[in-house]
Amino acid sequence: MPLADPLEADKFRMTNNNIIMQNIILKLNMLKTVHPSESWVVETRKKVLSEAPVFALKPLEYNSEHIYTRKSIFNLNNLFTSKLAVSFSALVFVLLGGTSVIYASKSSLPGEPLYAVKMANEGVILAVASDSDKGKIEIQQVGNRLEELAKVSQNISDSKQEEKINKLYEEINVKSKKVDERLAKSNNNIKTAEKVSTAKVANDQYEKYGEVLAKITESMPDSMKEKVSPGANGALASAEKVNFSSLMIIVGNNALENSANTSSNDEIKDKLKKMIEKEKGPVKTTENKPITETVLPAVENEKIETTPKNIETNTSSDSEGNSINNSADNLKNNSTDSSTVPEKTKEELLADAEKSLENGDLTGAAKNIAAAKEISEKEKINIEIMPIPVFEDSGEVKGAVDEKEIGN
Amino acid sequence: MKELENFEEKLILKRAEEGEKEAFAEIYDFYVVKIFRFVYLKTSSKETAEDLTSETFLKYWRYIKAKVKTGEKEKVENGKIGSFIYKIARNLIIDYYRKKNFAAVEISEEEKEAIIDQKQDILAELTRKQEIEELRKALGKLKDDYQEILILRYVEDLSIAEIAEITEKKKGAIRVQLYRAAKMLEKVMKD
Repeated sequence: MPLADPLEADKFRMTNNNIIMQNIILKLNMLKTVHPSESWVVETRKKVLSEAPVFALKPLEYNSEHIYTRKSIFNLNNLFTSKLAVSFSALVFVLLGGTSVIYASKSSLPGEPLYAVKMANEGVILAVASDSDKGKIEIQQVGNRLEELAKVSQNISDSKQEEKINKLYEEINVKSKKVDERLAKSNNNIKTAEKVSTAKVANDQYEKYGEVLAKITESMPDSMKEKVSPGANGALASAEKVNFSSLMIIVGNNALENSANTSSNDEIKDKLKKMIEKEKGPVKTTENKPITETVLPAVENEKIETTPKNIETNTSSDSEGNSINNSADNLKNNSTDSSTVPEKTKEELLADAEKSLENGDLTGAAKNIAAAKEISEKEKINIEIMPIPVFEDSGEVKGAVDEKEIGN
Repeated sequence: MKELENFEEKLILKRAEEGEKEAFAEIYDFYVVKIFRFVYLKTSSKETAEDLTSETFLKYWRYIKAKVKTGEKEKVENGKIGSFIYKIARNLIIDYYRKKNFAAVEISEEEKEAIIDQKQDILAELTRKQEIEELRKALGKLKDDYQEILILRYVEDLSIAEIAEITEKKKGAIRVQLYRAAKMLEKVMKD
C-alpha cells in the first residue's frame, strides 16, 4: 500500500535505496578475494623486473660526496649547502607527508641515494616529537639501525662494508646511550606512567636487540669480526645497559604499585631470571673471589686504590630506576673504599637474587642483580686498566699480567 | 589494502627515475594483485588477465624510461602511480576487446578454482564460490562503463576522484553512474 505522505514516501524510498546499495556493496566486496596464483606472481615479478629500466645514467653506488650533494635530484642550486639541501627537502616532505616518508625510504641503506633523506627524516621526527614520545622513537630508530646492520653485514662484495658496519655500531651505541639517559633523568614534562611505558617498550625491544646484535656479529667472517669488534662490543654493552636500566624501572614501579597482577609479576620474574643467567656468564677471573684479591700481584694494589674513584666517576651517571636508587647508591658507597673487601661476591649476590625470586621478592632480586652488575663493571674496568709492564734490568717484566690468565 | 600516501608515491617514483630496481619491485608488489583482479573481472579470463597484467607493468616502465630520457621527470613524479597503472590496464583491455571483437570468454572450472581464495571450510567455500560466480556473471551482463565503475569503486576501493581520473569523466557523473550501476546489478541478479 503506497504511503500517503509524500515526505514519508521519499524517506522510505531513500532508505530502501540505501539498503539496496549496501547489499550490492557487500556482495561486490566478496570479489576482493579474487587473486592470481603465487607462482605466477613470483614468475612475472622476475620477468617484469628484468625489463625494468635500470638506468646507466647514474650509478647506484654513490660516493659520500654525491649523497650529500643531491643537486640533480632536488634541482637546488649552489646557494644551498649540500646538507642543508637534504634537510630542507626532508623537512618539506615530512611537513607535507608525515611519517609516510619514512615508509618510502625505509629500505635505504648507508651509501644509497635516499639514506641521507631517511636520516634527516628521523631527525625531524624526533625533533618535533613530545618529550614523552622521544624515548620510544629513539628505540625504534635503534631498530632501524639494526636492520640496516643486518643487511650491510651480508653484503660482502661492498668495499666499504667495514666502514659502514663500524658507523652503524657507533650509531647504535650512541642512540642506546641516549635512550638510557632519557630513562634515567627525571623530567617534569614526562609523567611517571609514560616513563614506565617507555621503560617497558625499551625492555622488550632491547632484549631482542641484544640477541640480534650478538647474532649479526657472530655471523660475520672472522676477519671482519676482528676489525669491528670494538664497535660491536660498545653497541652490545649499551644495549645491555638499556635492557637492565629499563627492567629496574619496571621492577621499581611494580613495587610502588604493590602490584598483585600475577601475569605481570611472572613476566618480570622471567626477565630477572634471564638477567641472572646473563650475569653468570664468566668474566674469566679466579672463581669465587673478587679480582682485587687474587689475580693481580700485590704491587698492583697501589694502582687499584685509584680505580674506585674512576669507578665512582664512571658510574655516577648510572641510574638503576628511581625507586631503587638508594640501594644502588649504597652499593656504590661501599665500593669506594678499596681496602674493604665486598661482603659478598658476585656469585653470592646472584645466588641471593635467585632465592629472592623464589620467594617472590622481585625488588630484592633486582637489588642483588644490580650489586652483581656493579662488581662486573669493576672487573671489566680493572681488566681494561692494566699496568704498563716495567722491565727490570734482568729483563723480567714486573707487574705485567698475561691477559690470557684472566681470559680477556 | 593500505594505500600509498602521496609522498610515499613521490619518493618511490624518484627512486624509480634514478633507476633503483627496488622501487620498481615495490610498485609491482603493491599493484600486481589489484591490476590482475581488475583485468580478470573485466575479461573473465585468467590467461588474459595474466598477460595483460604483466603487459601493464612493462608499459609503465617504458613510460617512465621515455619521460626520463626526454627530461620530463616532473610528469612522472606528479602523476599518481595507481591512476596511471589502472589507465594503462584499462586501455589494454579495450584493445583486447577490439582485437577479439566480442564480449567475455567463459573460463574453465579449473581456472576458477585456481583464482578464488580458498581459506574456509568446504561447504562455506562452495557457497561462496557459487555466489562469486553468480556475481561475476551478473557483472558481465552490465555495460562496460557500469561494470568498470563498480569494480573500481567497490572491489578496488578507489575514490571517486581516482575513478574520474582513470575514466576521464567528471566526479558528478561518476556518482550518478555508480548509483545507476548498482541498481542495474541488483536488477540483473534478481532476474
